[in-house]
Amino acid sequence: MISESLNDSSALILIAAMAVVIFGCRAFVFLFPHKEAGKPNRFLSFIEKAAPPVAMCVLAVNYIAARIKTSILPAMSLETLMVSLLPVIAASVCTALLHIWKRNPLMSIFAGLVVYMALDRAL
Amino acid sequence: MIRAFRYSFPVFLGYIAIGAAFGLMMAEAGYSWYLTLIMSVVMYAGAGQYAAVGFFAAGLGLFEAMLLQFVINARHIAYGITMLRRFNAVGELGGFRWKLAKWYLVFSLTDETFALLSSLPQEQPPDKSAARLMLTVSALDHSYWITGSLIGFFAGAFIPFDFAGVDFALCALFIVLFVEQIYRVRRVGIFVVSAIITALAVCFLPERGALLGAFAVSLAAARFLENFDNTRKERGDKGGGYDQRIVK
Repeated sequence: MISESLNDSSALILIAAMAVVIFGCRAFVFLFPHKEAGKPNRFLSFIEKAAPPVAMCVLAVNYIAARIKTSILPAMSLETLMVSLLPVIAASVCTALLHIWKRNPLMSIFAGLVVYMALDRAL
Repeated sequence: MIRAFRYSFPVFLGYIAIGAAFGLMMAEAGYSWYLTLIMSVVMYAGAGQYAAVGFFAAGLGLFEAMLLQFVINARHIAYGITMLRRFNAVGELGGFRWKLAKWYLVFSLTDETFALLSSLPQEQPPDKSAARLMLTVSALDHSYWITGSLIGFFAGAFIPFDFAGVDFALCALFIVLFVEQIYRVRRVGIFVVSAIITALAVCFLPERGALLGAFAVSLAAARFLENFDNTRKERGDKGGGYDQRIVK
């Protein structure tokens, strides 16, 4: 099975090049020598602390917002729009509130997933 | 192993689902199973692999493909910075095997694995059992992704059960870890600002650049807004959290 636009060997070259770029991003700071013992680099230690909270916020909001964006179609009535947005919004709110209430991660995630899939199929 | 599986279970659901979507996409585009497998093993990047299928179809050149992959994955540089000391400490545990383990941890640092690993309790430097847990979680996530993409390739067209929606598990995981980060950092401003920036980025930036733009601008905003110097002290004062509740 070879696609019309690309044969396997050129696909493999492309894959290898892209894999190098992806690994390069993840390994970026590991590839450069840096002073561990001396003065800690202020920029690096800022990123070290700020990246987890910022990343979680960005990833969660990105996921929800991207879903909302793709479900908005042109020439949609307000009612159908609300129906199509309900699953992701209700499930996200449910996950967050349940987690604030119980602080049980797996329970919050399952409840959110069940709400999402149930509403997604029912509507 | 069981701890690591429980800890990574939401990623199991999510990766099987979105991995299967990738496999199905490859099958429908007429590519072979081994290209699918190779991509999931060596690239191991959700958005990057979806985009790559489009690159093949569009006959994109080598340089353009690399540049776009950089834009899609540049946020991982910041993940590397966060894990720098922990992963380097794993490499220092002694012997060639731990050095190899360190580079595997670096290689397999996806959004979801970063989310899980950065929420683990932080004993600095990690001892061997902490390092083993990180390694097992990373390898499990990788195996879910590979399994999912092969399932999607071979069975995607025949599975009567609709996979759509199961990937919401990843969204729910991020929401849970987001709430945990609010408890951990005990600040509100930066989260409100990041959320607004991300929503704007999704609306106005092209899909491939939205995450990077949102992440970079939010980090810059965090620099001006907050002083994170004392977060470490506040960590764990309340106990609980994703880490302690699951990993016991």
